[in-house]
Amino acid sequence: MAWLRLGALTGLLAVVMLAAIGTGPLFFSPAEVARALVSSHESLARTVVWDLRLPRVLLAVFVGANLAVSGALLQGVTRNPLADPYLLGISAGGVFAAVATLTVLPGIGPEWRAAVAFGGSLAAGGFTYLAAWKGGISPTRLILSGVALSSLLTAFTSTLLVTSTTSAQIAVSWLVGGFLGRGWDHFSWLWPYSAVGLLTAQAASRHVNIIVLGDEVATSLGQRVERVRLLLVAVAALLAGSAVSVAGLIGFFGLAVPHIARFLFGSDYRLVIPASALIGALLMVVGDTAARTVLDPRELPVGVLTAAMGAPFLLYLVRRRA
Amino acid sequence: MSVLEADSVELGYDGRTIVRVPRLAIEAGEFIVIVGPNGSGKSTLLRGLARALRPKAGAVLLDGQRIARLQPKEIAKRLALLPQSPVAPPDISVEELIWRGRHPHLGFFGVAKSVDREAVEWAIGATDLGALRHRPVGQLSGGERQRVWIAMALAQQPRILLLDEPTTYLDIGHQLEILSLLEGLNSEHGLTLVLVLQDLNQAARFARRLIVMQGGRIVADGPPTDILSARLLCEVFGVEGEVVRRDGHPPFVHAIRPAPRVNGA
Repeated sequence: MAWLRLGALTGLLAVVMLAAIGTGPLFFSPAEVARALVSSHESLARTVVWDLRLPRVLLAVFVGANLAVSGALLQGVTRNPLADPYLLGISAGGVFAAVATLTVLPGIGPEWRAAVAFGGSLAAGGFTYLAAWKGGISPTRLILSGVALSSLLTAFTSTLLVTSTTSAQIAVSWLVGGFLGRGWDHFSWLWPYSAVGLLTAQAASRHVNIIVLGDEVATSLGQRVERVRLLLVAVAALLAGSAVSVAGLIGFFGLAVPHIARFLFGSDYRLVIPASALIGALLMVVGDTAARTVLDPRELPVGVLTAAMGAPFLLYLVRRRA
Repeated sequence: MSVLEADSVELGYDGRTIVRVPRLAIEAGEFIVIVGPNGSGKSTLLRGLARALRPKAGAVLLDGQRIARLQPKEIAKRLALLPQSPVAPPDISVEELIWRGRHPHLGFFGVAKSVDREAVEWAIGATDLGALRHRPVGQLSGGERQRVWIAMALAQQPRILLLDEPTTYLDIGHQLEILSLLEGLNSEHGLTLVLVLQDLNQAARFARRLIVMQGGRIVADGPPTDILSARLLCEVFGVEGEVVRRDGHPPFVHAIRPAPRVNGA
């Protein structure tokens, strides 16, 4: 039953992707999109679809899935419904690293920016973990360390932005996040991390079901709690860090999407993980398509749109539960 | 050979040592209740025995082997701990929570076999939860929920079950229901039980061996009839009272008033 609904969600995602590829200043019907995708015949449709829209839609799919699954893992591991990659400092680390290289070392080429941002995310996630370590990790210490580091890094980023004049425009684009100007290069960088992260998350979902019962029960059930927690935080950092490294700071996704997934599929993480991935992908594709078409030729930051869509729904869920 | 043994164990948190137990041996099939005033180290000892807390010194032996050297899943197939107020996601069903007790038995891919299904069905039957199996655990009463947690621990098929105050927050009817359930598991299936309880009369009624703790040490250990006395009430619990003994009944603790404090105590 639940697997059937996951299948339906996958079908819906495919339809939405086709529609998103067809939508823009030049409109193509799903049939035209499908033809352009399979034919080797040179045409305007083929150029627009292959070179511009398909990579962007695929990026939205993976960035959305990465952020959502990262949030789902962190909420499980910390047993805190407010946990997300931002709260643990992972997102702020990536953005700080990107902005720092832009302003302090402008000589570093754009091809290195994703790698630098990725490194920043992982380093921040690692720092949060070590700061919370005291003979073991308590979920509360993990969250508080993350909040502290996140505030600190955000303060550093703001300082860099107001004290530097160079490349401020590009720097700001990291803060609001989005897919403007992103293409196959970014996709070929992102997908291996996504694939490894998403598959590991799915394989580990059974262990998340155990760790949410609390450290004592999980230990009693034979789980190596500290080892599982480290693995899950590392996978969450990999997913969120790689997403931030190509799309900047898209807030709210990691927090809200897992709640939507649980609302639709319940708390079993074997379903929450794939549902979060699919819903995250779906919402990101819709959000990015709206971002590039609503005010065409100007682009809205996709984070603004996703927050505008997600926030009312989250409020509805909160009130419904109470 | 004892199934569970503490050898010169010291337990504590951060820099502080709270519990010191030179030797404690638990034999197969025992029904042990640990009592003691607040802060005497009952829960700490239980957590130490269940390797939820690593000893600062000494060793815990399971079937004669050092527990720290055994694989976590191997320990989990023999020994389970139910903490005081475990929390589960409220929307998962009774059956699903009980299934999580099979975790140590499942392989890498988590595929359930017929032995797993049989174990879960047995646990549901033993705790009389058949009618509730599809209900979300968040909708259950306190007593029902405690039965589900016990069922989860039973699905784990341990030979030793440690429970930290399993009757806290329950009314007296449900307290007796849980304790009778445990008594049945002990007498019919030979499950070795170690419970922490607050109520001395329930401890006297159900325990076949009573362990009394004070200030992190075991100060009395034996059958309730031999141990419970007015003097113990006064010295350990600071209570003035009497212990009523009638043939064929467990000793009855009648607490009257707080004992007058000795100077400086």
